Amino acid sequence: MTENVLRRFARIDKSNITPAIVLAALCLILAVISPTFRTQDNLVNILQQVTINAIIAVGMTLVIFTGGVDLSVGSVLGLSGIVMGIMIVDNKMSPLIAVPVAIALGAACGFVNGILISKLKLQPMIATLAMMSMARGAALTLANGKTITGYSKEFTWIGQGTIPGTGIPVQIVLMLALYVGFYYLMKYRKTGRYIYAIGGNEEATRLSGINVVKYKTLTYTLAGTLAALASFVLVAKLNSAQPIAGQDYELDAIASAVIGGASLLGGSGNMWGTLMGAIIIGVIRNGLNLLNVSSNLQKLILGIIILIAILTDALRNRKRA
Amino acid sequence: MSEKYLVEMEDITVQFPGVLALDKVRFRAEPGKVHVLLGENGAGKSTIMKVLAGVNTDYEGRIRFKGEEIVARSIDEQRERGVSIIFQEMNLLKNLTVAENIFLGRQPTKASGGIDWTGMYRQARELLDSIHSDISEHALVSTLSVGQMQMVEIAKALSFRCDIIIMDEPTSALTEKEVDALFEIISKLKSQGVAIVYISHRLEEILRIGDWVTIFRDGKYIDTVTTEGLTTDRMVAMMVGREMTEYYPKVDVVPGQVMLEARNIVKGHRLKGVSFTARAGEITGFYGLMGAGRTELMRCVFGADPFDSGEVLVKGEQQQIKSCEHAKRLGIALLTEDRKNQGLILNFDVNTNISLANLAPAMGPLGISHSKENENNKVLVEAVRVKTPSLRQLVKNLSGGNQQKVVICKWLNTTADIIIFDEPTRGIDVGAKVEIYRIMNSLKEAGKAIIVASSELTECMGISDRIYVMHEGEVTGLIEGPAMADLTEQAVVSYATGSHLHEPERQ
Ligand SMILES: Nc1ncnc2c1ncn2[C@@H]1O[C@H](COP(=O)(O)OP(=O)(O)OP(=O)(O)O)[C@@H](O)[C@H]1O
Ligand SMILES: [Mg+2]
Repeated sequence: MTENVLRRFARIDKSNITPAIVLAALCLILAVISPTFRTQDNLVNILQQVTINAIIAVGMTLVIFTGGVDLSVGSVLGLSGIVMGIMIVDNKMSPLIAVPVAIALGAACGFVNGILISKLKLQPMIATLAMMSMARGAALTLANGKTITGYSKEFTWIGQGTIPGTGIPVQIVLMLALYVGFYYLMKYRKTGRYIYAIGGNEEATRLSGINVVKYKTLTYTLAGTLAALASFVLVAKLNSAQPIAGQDYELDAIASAVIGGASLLGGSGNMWGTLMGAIIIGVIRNGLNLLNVSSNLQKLILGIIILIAILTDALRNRKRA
Repeated sequence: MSEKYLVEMEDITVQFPGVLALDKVRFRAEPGKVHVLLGENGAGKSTIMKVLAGVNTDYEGRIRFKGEEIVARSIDEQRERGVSIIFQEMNLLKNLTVAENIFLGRQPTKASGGIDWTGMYRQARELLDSIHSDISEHALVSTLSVGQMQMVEIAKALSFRCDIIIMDEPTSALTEKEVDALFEIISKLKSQGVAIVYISHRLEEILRIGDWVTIFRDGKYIDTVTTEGLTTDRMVAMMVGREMTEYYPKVDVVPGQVMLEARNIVKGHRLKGVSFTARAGEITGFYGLMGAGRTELMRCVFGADPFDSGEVLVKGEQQQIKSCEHAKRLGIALLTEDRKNQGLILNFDVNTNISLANLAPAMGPLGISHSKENENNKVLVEAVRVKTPSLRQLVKNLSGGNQQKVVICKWLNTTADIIIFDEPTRGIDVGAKVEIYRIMNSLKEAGKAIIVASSELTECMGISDRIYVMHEGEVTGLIEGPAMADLTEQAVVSYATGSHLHEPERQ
């Protein structure tokens, strides 16, 4: 029994060895050149900064596993945040109603993406690009140029609070719980198998009697849901909802998945890899901040890193073929 | 001495991770002769030919070509030397036309330097005509059947000027008519002094066309013999290392109720009102020449493709089958003919592929249990004799026949009671074929309805209890009952070619 568990862990480690090494190396280098980096505060700080992207990246990874991509997650995050803000601040509604409604809205956006892609056979890039524009437009229109601030302590707990008696930030626990849950889903549930299979060979999966439309739609719906959940954490963290929130977040999420070893062709990669990918990006950002690199230059550097990750993936696929 | 041979390969060794595919084997080919390579699935036939063709460049050993020592470094270089190959796993690009595939990367050009499209399509037509194929040179490859793809591969291989042409299972999805056309070409090539390497698991073909037969077993060289006086039994004995007595084992089962019935299925001009029944405890065979519509019919019944009109009754109840998922829930399984595109996830391991159509046996209390999955799949893999170092081996690393066996395992792993096999034994060796027929027989005894569409006439006649013969989208003959006893190949072929205008008898 214990041997079995150990063997299973050995397998996880083997498939994730590259992102783990990259992460360790990065941390080592930064720890040497920056004394601030190695403080405990800073390390917790990195994890806190990573949560939003990491939560979005869970959904993005699912979509990438099927061989698709979702460009709308950042806009969906913006939209559900604004809707949450309008309900709670402007209309004095209870978060117990507002939050589920906003998350359901995110799910609905994802569901529409899913139907467009799986049933109407639109290209994922095109369908989600349209959704990206629609959701952002809706967010800007609803917000009418303002930022919505002023939330209760109970509401902001998810983004600012800690687990009572431990001092561990709630958002980090939430993030880790999501990764554990989705790791389990991908490895031990039929749904996970089928999502991988669709990315591996969609036609063979369909002809094996699997409802490809259903599972593809599910992944996009989950991507929308998780983007909305991330918006909950973000609004709580900043104590404000902004219509432009989430811009470019899709790029970070895609990069996390690809750096973590997921192939853009679908069918390979795993959840731990994406979590490491998200942390790698967080560490790089943090390191560049500590080294006083301007945010414009940071963008350029991250772009190059994403390019390297995608190129590695492309080369890997060429070898596979 | 060395003048006599065009190719001499000595002490060839190829090692893959965990598999010694070739262990110091040799192979020789003379010009103007057909050299047959024979061996069980995974014996190393494709591997040695991929060495000669410059695909497997990681080998040890010596190759002499036209008396000169060479190193096979790349496909282009070997093609330049005069080696042409038809790959077992077809390599056509699906979104290009037939002609574009034939001339991929070397399209004829006009004086101005642009591509000579009309010239290219004309030449493609001529090539296809030369093998008596009526496939349109303008057709997209994605619309072709596996057999048609094989014909295109043949045309492509013929379009290279070459001294040796390697045919790795060129006929595994071809029917009599196309095989005859290919053999005509082979005779012509022989008379021009071209050496031919021929790999096939259809033993009658080997006796018809071969001059020499080289046998491999488990990556080792066994012997090379002349086909003069050679018998099928002898070949089998050398190949599997033991005698085989029965090629088509039969069991008698009293058929039960009608499990599947199709009435008047119409789909464009591909299916013109086809009706059939399949009963429990019976193997219903479907035979027909290329383009007869067998595959289309099976796909319609399984919900893989929509059809214009007609009815499908499952266990006596009419059903509107909307999808493959629906069909599977009704207890229908379809093993598709195209394993590479429709049957397997090549980049996934054996385990995942086998479990794909049914995860139930792998489920434990906490979801998929990898040990239960292993246990369950191991039994299947052993029953069908898949040769693989482990269940974790990626399917793309298996030999062609072993890949086919994985597809069979996938469907044996379901609880379907109406099982449609479209070209189930494509590329499978004789020994394993018998195992598969035995499994079909036990399914039959368990009261399941089995449907087998096959392009190999002897197989279709050997295993079926009744046979539907199709011709151009129609059922032209149904042979059953006492008529099966004295059925001749000619009779079936005459139905299949439409030369026998006979109304299907209904029971
Ligand atoms: N790329 C690869 N990686 C690992 N093993 C391989 C690879 N290619 C072939 N093999 C193994 O080498 C052995 C010989 O394979 P090969 O394809 O030559 O068999 P074959 O005689 O052509 O069989 P078949 O009749 O099934 O086509 C098999 O055990 C196969 O699993
Ligand atoms: Mg082979």
